Parts: sequence; structure tokens; C-alpha cells
Amino acid sequence: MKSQPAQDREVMIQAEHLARYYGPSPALRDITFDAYRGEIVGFLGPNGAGKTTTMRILTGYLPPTSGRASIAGFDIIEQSMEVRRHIGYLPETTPLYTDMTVWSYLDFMARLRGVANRDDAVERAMSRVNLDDRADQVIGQLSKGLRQRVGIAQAVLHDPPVVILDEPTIGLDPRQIQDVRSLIHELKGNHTVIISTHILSEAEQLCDRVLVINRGEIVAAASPEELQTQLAGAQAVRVVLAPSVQPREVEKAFADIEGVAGVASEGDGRYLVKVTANGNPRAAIAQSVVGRGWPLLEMTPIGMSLERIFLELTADADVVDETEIDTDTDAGEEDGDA
Amino acid sequence: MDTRVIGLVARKEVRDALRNRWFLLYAAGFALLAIALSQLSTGDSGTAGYAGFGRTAAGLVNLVLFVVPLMGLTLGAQSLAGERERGTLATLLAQPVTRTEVLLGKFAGLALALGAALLLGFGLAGAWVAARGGGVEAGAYAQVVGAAALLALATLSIGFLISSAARRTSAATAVALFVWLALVFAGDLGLMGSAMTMRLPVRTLLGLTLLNPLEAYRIGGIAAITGGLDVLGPAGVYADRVLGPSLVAVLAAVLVAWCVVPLIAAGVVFARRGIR
Repeated sequence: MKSQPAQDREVMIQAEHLARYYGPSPALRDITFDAYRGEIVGFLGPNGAGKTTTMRILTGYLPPTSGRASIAGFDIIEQSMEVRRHIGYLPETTPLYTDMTVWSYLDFMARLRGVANRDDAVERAMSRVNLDDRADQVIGQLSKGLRQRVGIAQAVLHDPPVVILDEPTIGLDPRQIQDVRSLIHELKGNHTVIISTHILSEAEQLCDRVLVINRGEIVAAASPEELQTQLAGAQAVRVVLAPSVQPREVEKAFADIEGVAGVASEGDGRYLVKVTANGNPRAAIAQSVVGRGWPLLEMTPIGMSLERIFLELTADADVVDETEIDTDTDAGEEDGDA
Repeated sequence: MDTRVIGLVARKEVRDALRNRWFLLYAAGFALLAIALSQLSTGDSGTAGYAGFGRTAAGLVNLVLFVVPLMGLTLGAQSLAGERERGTLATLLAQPVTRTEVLLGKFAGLALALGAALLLGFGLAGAWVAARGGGVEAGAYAQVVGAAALLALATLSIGFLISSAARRTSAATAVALFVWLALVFAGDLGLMGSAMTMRLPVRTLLGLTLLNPLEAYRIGGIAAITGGLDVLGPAGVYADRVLGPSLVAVLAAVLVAWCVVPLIAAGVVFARRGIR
């Protein structure tokens, strides 16, 4: 999916060993990654994995406990103002001033940023998100989907090189989700976009690279396609035998075969045999079955879906709703995870 | 620090206050009660003139003592906590603005809104007294209004300190109400009770009284209207004797300290959470 090798492209976001602790509890343990100009990077992980905390650190809302990061070459701590000039940020739940009209809200944000040719910038941003005819509408009276567009317009108002969108499609209906996804897709190329999501199909559809975050750490980083092929056990074979065969014996027999990473009985004579990287144990499995005289009903090679990989990588995740934790207060710190 | 940003945030805060039902309710209630007090004070012809003004002003001092701290504390408490709870703080602070600019802008905007509400109430009351033929001692009245403005800023500042540490508006408002009750009762019943039971010397009693911004305002207001503090009993007489002509300056310093110190503390608490 990437058009250029990573090493030839300009690094726009560099995060090195970012960690954030609330008292003794880690919200982020160790986040290290680079994001390049013009790519869409997805933070994929369960609730409470540390996606929002990472984004808040990158946007200057929250300082890291340790580690460093830079945006467009500016250090997030030492050059926080420059960092904020180079990013556009849409937090989760799209917080907007709902009693303002679309125009007055965007105009206020443009004034805060000191955007030159303010009227033009507001018009351009509204046009990018197809809100041209909504200038005088009060934000509180807009649908969720339209509000999301206002939020994205706010984030791209100053044409920043980096756009950070936290769960941009959450709470939208399927049509609104498609609208927002196409808007994000249009940002690609001109902006480096970071989106967080826990929707796998969204990551597959939108992102050039996916960083799977779990318990405050990146547990996998690759393009959606690479993620499916790189990971050990990413390929599997489904074997269906007569239900009369004892599952324990099957598991024991298959486990000894070279290239088999694991065997899971799915009931009714169905087995999922996970295959090691570059392994191809199908012939040996067939031999083993025939040699033991077990009736073989079916044997199908299957690619593991991103969903299954995600579930495997995050199998030990605590389900904590990160949005419930306000990291801007002591109270948030007491709550621990974020 | 960018004054342009402070101005922008302040302007928005004024606009928000004018749409805030609580603020409008407070402002309208204060104005109506001020007019009602003026009507009562100048109601019978025998008390028109300066006596009528004195009674109106004394009534206004007591009205201010209850209503203005309530306005200042609750509005201040809802300011940052409200933005945090709605999530808009994260968007606001992702702009190239500092936390100090946001804090000062919000404070300035709410201070202007409170000032406008006070001017409306005091203006209507003064106009009512004047229209009914009562003389208005402009100097004394201005002193009462000025002290009320300082009290509004002092309680707003305390409200901001509460807000800087709170994550929910409801919790911030609850703490603000508790502080309001504590200040009202510490000023009156609390001090009276502890003076009697603990046999506090008059000097300590005066010191403790001056620590409470509400009491500082009350003493300043009464001194402006009556020219002395005899009505406050032995502590008043003692304050008159010890502080003499510097009384107003001391009271103003107490109120100014209450405006500045909690606001600085709020700034520190708020800034500690973020980068710069």
C-alpha cells in the first residue's frame, strides 16, 4: 500500500519510549514509533490500551512521565507551541461549543490560531468537509455526522502537516461512518494522519500502517496486509475429522508435526491448526491422519483475519473505558489507567 | 503571554455568561432584590433623603454579602471544570495557546460579566433612590460598589481554584456551595460562637474577621455608609482605634490578596497538569 520505502520519506512524528504513569499505575509503558509524511497510521487497540493517552501526549495536552516525541521536528515538551501550530486535533466524542454557529466556531478557532486570511481559511475548511451550506447553523442542532465534520474542519483549518483524530467514527451510523472515512481518506497525501480506532475493518480500509496497542505498549506494527502475513501463526489449516475421533489424541498427534504452532479443537471434529511462519505442514497432517486411520472429511488452508490477530494480540487486555478517565486532574490520576 | 488570546477567550466567556441561565438568574435576582430593597428603604416619606440612602446602602451591603459570593464561587467553579467535563478543554489546549492565557481569559471574561451584573443592580437601586427624592452620597456609594466588585473578584478567584482541581462541574459546584456556606457562617455565627466559647481576645477576633473576604467587605461597606464601626460592637470600636484612617487600605489589601492568591494557586494547579 505504501508508495515509497519508509527510509526515503520525511518523518513527521517520532515517538521514543513514551510512558505515562498515574501514581504506580502505567497508562503507557513504552510507545516508540515513527510516522511519515502523507501516511495514515492507525492506533488499534481495546478500550484503555493507551491510544487516547498517546494522542494527548502528542498534542501537548498531557506531559509524558518519560520518553520523548517530536512533531515535524519540534520537541513536544521544549517546543510545545510550535508542535501545536503543526497539528490539528479532534478528541474523541467531538467536543465542540454547541451554542455557536459553525462559522463562528471555526472563526473563533482560526482567531485563536492566528490564521492568516481567516475568512478564506474558514471557507476552505468548510468546503473540504462539505459544510458550505451550514455556516449559520447552530452546532447543537446538527446531526452527529455533521458535527464530526465540523470537528474535522476545525482540525484542518490551518492546513497542518499532522492531523490526529481520536475515534473519529465512534457513535456514527453506517452512512455517516462512510462519509467520515472518505473525508479522512482525502486527507491522505497532504497530511500525516493518526487515527485511533478499535474497528478492525476501519484500520484495514483506511490505514497504511497499523500499530496495535495493548496495555500501554505497541504489540505489533505493520501494514494491515503485512500484519496478516508477518505474524507467527498467521496462517492456519482447518481440519475436519469424524466426530468419533478423540480430540486429545488429535491434538497430541498434530502437536508433534513440524510447522504446527498450535491446535485448537472447535468441537464436532473440527480443529484449527495454527501454522508457524513459513511452515507448511499440510502434507504431514494428511499423512498423520491417514496413518492413524482417522476418517478425514475436510482440510482447508485459511488466512487468519486481522480480527483474529487482534484478538490474539490483545487477549489479556483489561477492558477499561479510556474516555472515562480525565488525565487533566488528580482525580484522573487516582483512577489509574488511561 | 499573548494578550490577543486572553482577549479572545474573555470575549467568548462574556458571550457564554450572557447565555448561561444561572448567571442570568443571579443577575436578574440581584437587580430585583436591589430594587425591592430601595423601595422598602425609601418607602415611607419619613425616611427619605440620606436616611433612606443609608438604609438602602446598608441593605445592599447585606444583599451583596450573600448573593455576590454565591455568584462568584459557582461561576468560577464551573469555568474550567465545565470545559474539562465537556471535553472542549482538550481541543482548546491543542491550539497554540498556553494554559495561563486560557485561565486569565476565562477569569477576565467572567469578571466583566459579574461586574456588569453588579453595575446593573447597584445602578438600578441608586436610580430608584434618586428618583424617589432620596439623596445619594456618591462617594460612599462608589466605595460600597467598589468593595462589592473586589468581593466578586475574590470569590471568583476562589471558584477558579476549585475548578482547576475538579473534573466534574457538579463536584466543583458542590465544593463552591460548601465554601460559600463556610464563609457566610464563619463570618457570623462561627466567629461569634468561637469568640464566646474560646474567649478570644478582641485582637485575635479582628484578625480572624479580616481573613474572611466577606467580613472584609462587610466592614468596608459599613464604614463607608456610617463613617465608623460602632455598630459592629467592641471589635468594630477596636478596629476603628487600631487601624484608624488606614482601615480602608487594609480591607482593600485583604480583598485584593483574596483576588490574587487563589488565582495564582489555580494557575499553578492548572499548569501542573499540562505542558507549559
